[in-house]
Amino acid sequence: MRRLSIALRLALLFSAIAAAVFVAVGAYLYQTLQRQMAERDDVALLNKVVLIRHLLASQPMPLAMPDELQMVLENVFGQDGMHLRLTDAAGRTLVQTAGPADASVPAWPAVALTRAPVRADVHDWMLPTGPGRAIAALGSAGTGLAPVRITIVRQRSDRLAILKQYASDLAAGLAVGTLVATALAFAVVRRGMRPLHDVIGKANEISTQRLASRLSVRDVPAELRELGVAFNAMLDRLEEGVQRLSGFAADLAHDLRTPLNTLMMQTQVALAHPRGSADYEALLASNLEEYERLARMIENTLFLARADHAQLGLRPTLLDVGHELAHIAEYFDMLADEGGIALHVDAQGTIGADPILLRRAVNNLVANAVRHTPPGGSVTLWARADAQGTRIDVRNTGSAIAPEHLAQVFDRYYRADPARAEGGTSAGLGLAIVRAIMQLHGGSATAASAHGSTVFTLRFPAAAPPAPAGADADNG
Amino acid sequence: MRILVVEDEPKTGNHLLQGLQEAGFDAALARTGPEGLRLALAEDYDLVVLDVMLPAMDGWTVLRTLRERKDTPVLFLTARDDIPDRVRGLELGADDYLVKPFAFAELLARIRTLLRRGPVREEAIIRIADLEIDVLRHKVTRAGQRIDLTPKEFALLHLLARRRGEVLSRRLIAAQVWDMNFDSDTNVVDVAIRRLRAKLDDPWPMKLVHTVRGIGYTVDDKS
Repeated sequence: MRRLSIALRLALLFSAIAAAVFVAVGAYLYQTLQRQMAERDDVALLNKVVLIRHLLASQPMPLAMPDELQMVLENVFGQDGMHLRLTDAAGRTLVQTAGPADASVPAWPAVALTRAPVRADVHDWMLPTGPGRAIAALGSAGTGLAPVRITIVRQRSDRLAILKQYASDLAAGLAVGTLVATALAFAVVRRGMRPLHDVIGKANEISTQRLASRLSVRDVPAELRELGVAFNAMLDRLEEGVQRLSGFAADLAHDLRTPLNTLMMQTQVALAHPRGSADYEALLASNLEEYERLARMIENTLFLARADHAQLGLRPTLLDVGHELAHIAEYFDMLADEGGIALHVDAQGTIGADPILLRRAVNNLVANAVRHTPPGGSVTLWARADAQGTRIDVRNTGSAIAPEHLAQVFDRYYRADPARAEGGTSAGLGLAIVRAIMQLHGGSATAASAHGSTVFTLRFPAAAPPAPAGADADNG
Repeated sequence: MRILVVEDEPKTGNHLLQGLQEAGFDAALARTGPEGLRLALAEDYDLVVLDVMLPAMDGWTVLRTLRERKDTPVLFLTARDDIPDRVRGLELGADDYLVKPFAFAELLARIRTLLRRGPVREEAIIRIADLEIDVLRHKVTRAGQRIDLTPKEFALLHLLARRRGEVLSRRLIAAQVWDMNFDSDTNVVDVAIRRLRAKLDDPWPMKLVHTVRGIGYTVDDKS
């Protein structure tokens, strides 16, 4: 059932409902017809009784012409499949028409002369040829004479045949009706599903080159609107991702050009004339620096690519933030000292994070902060934990970042100030790596800048279930 | 010490060979997997440097076949640093690995570590020229004069002195002294070296801390 199409499934459901309704209605009609026919049969019987009573009243008694009467009665009763017998008080048969009801009828109490027969007086009676109805009544045969007993038996077979025919007609109609309803339902459902096919068609149209196409949500039925909106939102995200990716590829290629250009230029210049070995040595060392820069760019790019695909195995461990931040501050201690920058740590609480990735993220932030803090300034590492999680701030004094750049500082290769391109040390990926690490942890990285100080904030979600001890015992 | 290098890329192979020979090793080069395997089985090398991307027979096969018969230490080189690749190499019995591109100094350091394996004798007092480091007491003197170092400066000097003559890369120094196991893209190590020099070398005519441009730093008596 799971693999059937919705149209087929709905059509089948419809046909089941149609069949059920048809059967119910048919059964009801059949019952009604049957009841009406039985009623009509009985009424005919009662009418005959009245007729015979009337006839008897007009006949001289004892019956003068049983033979003629017999003929008349044969005609009247034979056609209706009825059988009449008249018996006198002594039980002798006076008149009897031919018919199936030769078997003697039990001695039902006959309807008295004083009242007209009603349906309740009619009895079921099994004839050799099938079920039948019978009635017994008294009829007066002249004044002063003993009443005559009238017995009329009627066979129901002809009516039953009609009912049988009716039932089979009904069954045929039901089958055909169900089939027609199924077909119609299928067609209608298919038609109703057309907007869905439109969605499919639209989805098929979309490729990385043509991501701009969107579903028109306005013309879509209400049920599909939500799907359409979700679909469009997905396309928005995809388009953004593809654009970012292609932009990233372009930026990467662009950034690779700079060191390559340096390498080619200096090597060509050096080879143009014979030189002393000291010159060659200097050239090679300079080349090496460029190579290392290239290697670092590749490594960082790979790191980001893996973070994007969540291929980096995350090993969250419950860490003491104070300890971790102090460790990082210790690393930057001399560098800050050298630059005349005061380095403060004010951190409390615990954090559920991958130790190496946490260190890398904070390290990148602090490196960035130290780089942009003028002599005499300060860099503060602050952290607190609460129910929502742990927040780490890296705050530095010095030139603020313009608001329009704040949203983009975490983008790959984004540099707030092109002139401040760091002489090629950080290849513009440091903050992108910070953001990727935070996304891996389900947290966020934000930047704020005002009044001559800049804060980068990392928010880690409340500690995940602590990793088993020793899970981080890896050299990474 | 005899080292076999199995590397198919001609330039890389030649330079590895040259570099290792110049570093004082008796190095040989095999350019294909089968040849490398044959040599490794036939001769007694102290170490095999094995590239895993080899034509004809890949490094994994060479490693597996070699391990069936011999326990020669193997350091493998790979351009893929995804975790499954590294795990595979180590599971097959390799002793260490390096991801391309790597610094030659790093390769030398790893090779020396592998060859040194076994009981490492930690010297209590290291002497280089007139420098004396009392490791246990964290005391450093030069020509009998006490030099005061911060704990990190001491850790840095101890690392360089313990591996005297070896050129240590900035990354290795950052990892060993500050436990920063990733490329942190700062000049912390350079600053630290500068400060160490100011205390250790500046007052004396003979310099002990040397910069190897583009590679890293070393401590040695080069007089």
